[in-house]
Amino acid sequence: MVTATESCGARAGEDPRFTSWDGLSESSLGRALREPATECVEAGLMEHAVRRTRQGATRPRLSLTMTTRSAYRHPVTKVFTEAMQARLHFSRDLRGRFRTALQEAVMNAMVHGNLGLDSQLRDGLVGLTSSHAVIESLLARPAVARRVIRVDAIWNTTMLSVMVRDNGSGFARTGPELSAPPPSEKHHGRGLFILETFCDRVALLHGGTTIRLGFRL
Amino acid sequence: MQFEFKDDYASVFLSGEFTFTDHVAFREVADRLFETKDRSLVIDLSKLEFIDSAGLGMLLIAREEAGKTNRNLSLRRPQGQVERMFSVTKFNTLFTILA
Repeated sequence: MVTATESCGARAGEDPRFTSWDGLSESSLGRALREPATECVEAGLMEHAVRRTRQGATRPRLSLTMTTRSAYRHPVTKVFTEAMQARLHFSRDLRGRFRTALQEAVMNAMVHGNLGLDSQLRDGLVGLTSSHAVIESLLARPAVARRVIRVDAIWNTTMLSVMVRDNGSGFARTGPELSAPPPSEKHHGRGLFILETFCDRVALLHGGTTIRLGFRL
Repeated sequence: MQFEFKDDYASVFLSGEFTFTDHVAFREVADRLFETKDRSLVIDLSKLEFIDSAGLGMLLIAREEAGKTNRNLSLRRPQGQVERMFSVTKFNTLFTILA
C-alpha cells in the first residue's frame, strides 16, 4: 500500500513498485514512473491506490492516478509515453500512435468527463480564451480540481491495453460512428475519430467514463 | 509550444508540442500574426514535434481569422506525427501546405 508523501518515487523500505507523484512537475512525474514502478499515485489520492493494489494483477503493468488539475498543468501523456517506451521499446510508429491516442483520451477524460465542458465553447479566438478561463475557475474549486483521472496500461507479448477512466457522468453516444471523419472545417470533434484511426481497438465503457485503447505489439 | 517570429511578422515558427493547454501561446501567436498588413501569412511547422486535436482546432481558428480579413494562412513543412495528423484528418485539403 502506498502512503501519502510529498516526495516522488518510493520511500525507503517500501515496495518500489508503488510510487507517489507530488503533482508539481514533469520531471518529478518522470522519476515517479521510472522502473520498477507499476503504480504511481499522486499525493493526496492514496485511497485510489489501495483499491488498485488489492486487485493484485500479475501481468506487466503501469498505472498513473492523478488529479484533473495535474492533468491540465503538466504534459502527463508525454511522460507516461516515455515511461512505456522504456519498458516496451516501441517502434517509432507505435510510439507516435500511442502518444497521440493517449493524449486524446486523457484530454477527453479531463474536459468532457471531469470538467463537464462542451467543445463548442472553443469556437473562435474569443471562445477559446473564455473556455480556458472557465477551466481555470473550475480548477480553483478543490472538489473539481481533485477529481481523478486514472490511466492503466497492461500488456503481454502481443497486446497493449490502456484504460483511461474519469469521474464524470459519462455521455450518450448519439453522433456519427467512430470511424466517420468529422466535418472537415469544425474546430473540434476529431478526438474519437483519431482514437479509432491510431488504435487497433477502441471501446467506450461505463457510459463513456472509461475509454479502452488497444495496440498490437 | 514555443514560437518565434521572423523579420516581417508575417511568418511564425512553431516548435515543441502544440496541445490543448497551449491556448495562451497560440493567442499571442494569432494576435501578433494578424497585426501585420501582409495578405499572405505563414505558420512554419518544421520544428513542431507533436500536435493533438485541440491544436488542429486552433490552427483552424487561425485560418478563419485570416479569412475574415481576406488574407491567406498557409502552413509550412509539417513533419512526423504532425504530418500524420494532417493526413488522417484531411487537413491538407483545408490549408495550403508549403514545402
